[in-house]
Order: sequence, then C-alpha cells, then structure tokens
Amino acid sequence: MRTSPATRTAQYAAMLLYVVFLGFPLLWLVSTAFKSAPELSRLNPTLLPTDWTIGNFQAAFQQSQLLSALRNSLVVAVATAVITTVIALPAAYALSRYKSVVRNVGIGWILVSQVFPFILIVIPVFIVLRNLGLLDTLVGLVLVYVVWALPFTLWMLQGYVAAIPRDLEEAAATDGASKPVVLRRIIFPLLVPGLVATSMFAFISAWNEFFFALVIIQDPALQTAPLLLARYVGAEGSVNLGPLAATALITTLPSLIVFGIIQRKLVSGMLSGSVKG
Amino acid sequence: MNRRLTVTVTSVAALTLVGTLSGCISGTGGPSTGAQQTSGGKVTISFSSYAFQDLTVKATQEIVDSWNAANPDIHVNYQKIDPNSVHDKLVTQFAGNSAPDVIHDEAADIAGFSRQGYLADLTALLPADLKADVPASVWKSVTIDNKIAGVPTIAQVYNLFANTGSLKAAGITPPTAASPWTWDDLASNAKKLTTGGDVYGLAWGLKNPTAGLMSSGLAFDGTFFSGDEAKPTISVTAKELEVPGRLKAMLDAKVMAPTSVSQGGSDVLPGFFAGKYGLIMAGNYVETQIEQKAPAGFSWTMLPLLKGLNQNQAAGPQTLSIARQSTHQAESMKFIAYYLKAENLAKIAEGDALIPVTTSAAAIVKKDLAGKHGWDAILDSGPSLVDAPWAKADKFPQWKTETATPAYQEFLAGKIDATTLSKRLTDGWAKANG
Repeated sequence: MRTSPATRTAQYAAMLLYVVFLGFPLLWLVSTAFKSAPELSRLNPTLLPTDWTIGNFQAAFQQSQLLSALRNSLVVAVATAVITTVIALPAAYALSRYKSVVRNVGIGWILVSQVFPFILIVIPVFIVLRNLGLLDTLVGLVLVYVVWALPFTLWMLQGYVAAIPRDLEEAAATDGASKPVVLRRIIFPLLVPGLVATSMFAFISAWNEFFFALVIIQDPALQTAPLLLARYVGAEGSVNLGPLAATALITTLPSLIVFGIIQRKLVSGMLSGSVKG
Repeated sequence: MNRRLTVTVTSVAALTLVGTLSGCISGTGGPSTGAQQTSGGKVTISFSSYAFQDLTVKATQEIVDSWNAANPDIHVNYQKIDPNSVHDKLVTQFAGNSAPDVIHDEAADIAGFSRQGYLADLTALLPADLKADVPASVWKSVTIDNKIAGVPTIAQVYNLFANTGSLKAAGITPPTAASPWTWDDLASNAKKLTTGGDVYGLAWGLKNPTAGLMSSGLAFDGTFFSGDEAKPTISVTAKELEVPGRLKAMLDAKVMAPTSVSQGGSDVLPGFFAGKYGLIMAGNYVETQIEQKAPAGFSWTMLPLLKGLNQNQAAGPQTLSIARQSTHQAESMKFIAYYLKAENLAKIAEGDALIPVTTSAAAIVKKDLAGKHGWDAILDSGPSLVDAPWAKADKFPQWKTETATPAYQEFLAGKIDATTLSKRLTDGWAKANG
C-alpha cells in the first residue's frame, strides 16, 4: 500500500519534532557555553546568545586541568573498552556454545553481580585497591571499570554469539576447517557488530563514570573529566554555569565522535541480531 | 571489519595501554594521600580543599605555593575536591586509612567524624596566638565532646541584599549597623517595594529551607535542641516557629515572591537583576556571584543582619581538621596556622565573600572592602555568630533531609499549618533519634 503525501508529511514532521526533542539539550548546552555571565543571569534567557563569547572556553582551558582530564578519561575509557572486550569475547563464546553447569553458574553470576549498588561495594573496592597499591592510579580505575562493565558486556556479547547459526560452524568444519580457523574466519567477522556495540557500551560507561573515580583518584593530575565537571558545582546549588557548559561540551565531543565513527557498525549489529537465529 | 578500521582500533588500543602503564609508572603506585617521609627527611602532607570560587582556588594555591617555597622540609600537596562530595570521599578515605592529613570541611560535618575517632584532637596542637584570635563562641562550634575537631576559618551569614535603586524609588532609607532592620521592618518595607504585577518586595530561595530558617531563628532564641550534644531533645515552640511564620505571612500577603519556595539560594538572582525583587535574602557567599553576574549599572548593597530579639545566627564555619591517621600532625598544624595567618585568611575570605573568623583577618578584609556593598556591617556580625545546638547532634543530617526540609516546604506552600509543622518536626526527631 502506498503512503499518501499527507501521511508522509506527518511522519516527517513527527520525526523532525522527535529529533528536535532529542537534540535540544545539546543545542542548549552549545548556546549556554557561548553566553557571558551577565547573559546567563537574565530572567528571560534567549535560545541563542545575543553576544557570543568564547570566554567560557578560555576559562575552561585556563582555570582547570581540562586537557589532562580529557587525556585521562580517554586512556581509561579506551583501555576499559579494549580489555573488557578481549575478556568478554572468548567467555561469551563459551557461555553461548557449551551447555554445562559452568554455563548456568556463569549466567547466574552475571545476573547477581548486577544487583549490588555502587555504594555497597565502594569501601571494599577502595581497601582492595589500597592493598594492591593501585589506589590513585589509572590502572586501578581501569581495573574497577573492567570488573564493573564485564558482566553486562558478557551478557550482551553472548546474545550476539547465540544469534550466529551453528550450521555455519558445522559447514566450515565439514569442509575441513579447524576450530581456530572457524573462530577467526567465520565467527569473528560475524561478531564485529556485537563487538563494536559492547565496546561502545564499555567505553561510554567508563567515560561517564563519576563515583568510583571520586573515591579512587586523589592526585589532581590523574582526575578524569567527570571529576572536573563536578568542581563547577558549588555548595547550595551555586553553579559556575558558563565554564561548566563549555567544559561539558568539550567532554561530550569524544563520545559523539566515537559514536559517529561506529554507528553504522552498531546499527548493522542491531539488525543482524534481530533477523538471525 | 575493514583493514583500515582494524589498524586504527589496534593502534589506539596499543597507545592507550601504553598510556595507562605510563600513568601507573608516573603515578604514586599507591596512596598519594597521607603523609610521606622521604629518605632526605622531607615530609609531604596532603591537603584536600573544596574551595569552589575561582578567586578562592587561586588564593588557596598561592598559600600552598608560598608555604612550599618557605618550607622545603614540609611539602604540602594540594588536592582539589568538589564541595558536594566532601563527606562521601572522606567516609571512604577514613575507612581505607587513606585520608588527607589536612582536611577542609565544615563544622556541621566534622562532629560525626570526630566522634568516630577519625579526627585528631587539636587542643594541644593549637598555637596560643591562633586560639586567641578566634572568638570563644566560634571555638565552641568546633568543639566536640571537649575536643577541638577543627580550626574554624570562614563563616557564612544569611543577610538581605537590596536593589538600592528600588529602595530609593520606594523612599526607603537603608538600615545601618547601629540601627538594623527588625523582621517587622522587613515586612513593612517589602510591602512598600511590592508594586504589583510580578514585582515583589522580597525573594528568598527556599528550596532547601532548613539551614536558613533555623539559623535565622536564633535571632528569636529559637534553639530547637537542648541537653546532650550528640542526642539532644527537641522543643518546637513559638520561638522556633517565629521565622517560618513571618515568611508565610509575607507569602500570603503577596509581598514575597511565591516562586521563592521552589528556588535554590542563588536562583533568585536573575529576578533580582531584572528589578523584580527589591530585596533578596541569601547566604552572603552570593555576593561573589552578584559581583560577577550583575548587569552594568546595577546598584546593590548588603544590609546588616536582621534583628529579632537579637541578631544571632548559627556559627557554622568552614574548618581545617587533621586526620587522626596522620603521622605528621605537628607539621599539619604548622601549615594550618600558616593558612590562618591574617593576610592569607583575608584572601580566602574575600574570594568566597565570607566572614573570616579571626579578628586579625577580619580587620584586613574590612580595610580592603571598606564602604563597598555594605561589607562593613557584615564583617561586624562576627560576635552574632553563636554555636548552633543542632550542629553536633548525630542524627541532625538525617532529620534535616527526611523531616525538616519537606515539612518546612509544605508549611511555606500552605499545605500544613504551624501546629502540624511543629508536630512533624518533633515526631520526626523522635523517630530519627531512636
């Protein structure tokens, strides 16, 4: 059945409204980042700045350790994504393909591990890291993030593995392919969308995480971007809004860029998961 | 995955891992907090501070730098933390035996840590001249179970900020320190400043009303608590209900902006700048924000503390404490004494627009800011700062969050009357206090 022009117009209008709804916070962030302090204190704020200023960006770079915080966040987030994915990949394959008691216990562990809130484990984690000599190090932070992200990434990835038909492996084995060859030539290429999705999840989780970083990192040179952002909010709700918006905009860019680069893989991953199995 | 993407991802991952490892190597490899003794006899002490305003952060850095330059054997490592995470971070650090040597906190927060044994008793460590430089009433606010748990630094009061143009237009003469406004004066002047439409005489961001209302209530001797410091008993009488009752009357008379009940402390500033409110009540730290954000030509001043039976308000100063876990308490106290030197504390106070608790620093600030935006009267309010009975009560933070704040909000919004407010506050304390 053909869609009528009126229906199609309404669909596009609805989609446009939805995009505006989703994009408005980002637009407001950009607008705030370019407004001066007096303009930010106006009773009736305007959508766009009346007097554009880059003063907030200058303040963000001059008055804080923005560059080192961004570097630290990038190091921690990429390391978390890579290590999590490397560990989760073989584990997810084993969980998905081999039916055993270990599989049931493993899945049970994954689900149970999601039950514990941050606040319950933060002091034990702090003490363990101190005893390992990893307190106030990025390695310690990565270790915590990997442990924290691993259960969910494992859960996601084993779903992708399960969506790959066993017939493909059996056909390759029938043609004489060894297990490593099957994994490398058949399974891995089909899992790429899943790997992208799970590593993206681990990356963003680590990039945005605040509480563990707050308690683990003491050295100003090792602080991550969320810790830096928190310092723009003072007591009793007072906020240094302009520099906060500028810093938030800058710290949002890496996530947007990473997402932009891999979004096609992500979408194809979703689609592949939905039609196979 | 195409080859280019594979190479890119692999390269980034490799660089990241190298970066992580180098971060580990260049880091401390262990706790950077706490005092460390190097082989050369040099001591490093850590100092965590939640200084927030740019000027205060700058002043703090200058103090640390000048100390480090003058004291090569005692190096201070300045750690900046955000004001809203101080308690959570300290809880973890104390539990992990990894707290900073010198801890910037506030009087209301250190009572619990002191009773749990995490803070050193500073009584024997304090230099005599520093002790004499701070009023006894302020020392009382940081003395927990006969132990001095922190050295007070700067304090906040709640005062009126006036749009002087609006006052002039309404024919109102600003009060002086010798003749401050009473709460009755506030009500009558707020009425004069209310010109209809959306222009109100007074606004006070009371989204979190408990601290401001209770502190202001001390001017009517509304002390709320008495008896044991840690587990006091509560009594909510007419004295304690005086300030919320007067505010409710002004809200009902439509001379106080109705949006006050849902706004934060500094949320009223845009309306103040736009001439919608002739007066705003706020913590005096807002002075810095007005300086930075007020439109050109906006004329304003701070007014002396309102008078009830007196001008008392709660002395809830910021503090510098020493962790009991610190192995260099004497060196830490030397740094604290340096931080509180008159010229240093004056810089901190001017940066945060708060009142220095030492008389020597107050004299410098008064000289620096003489005649500016009513600072003279605010700096003279030091003697009005009294020990708040609730500050050392173990369950006060819980009662404040779970009982007092919602009860005050409902009262100001007209959902409950004064009798119900009194009962809610009393019953809530009985429940929280076990």
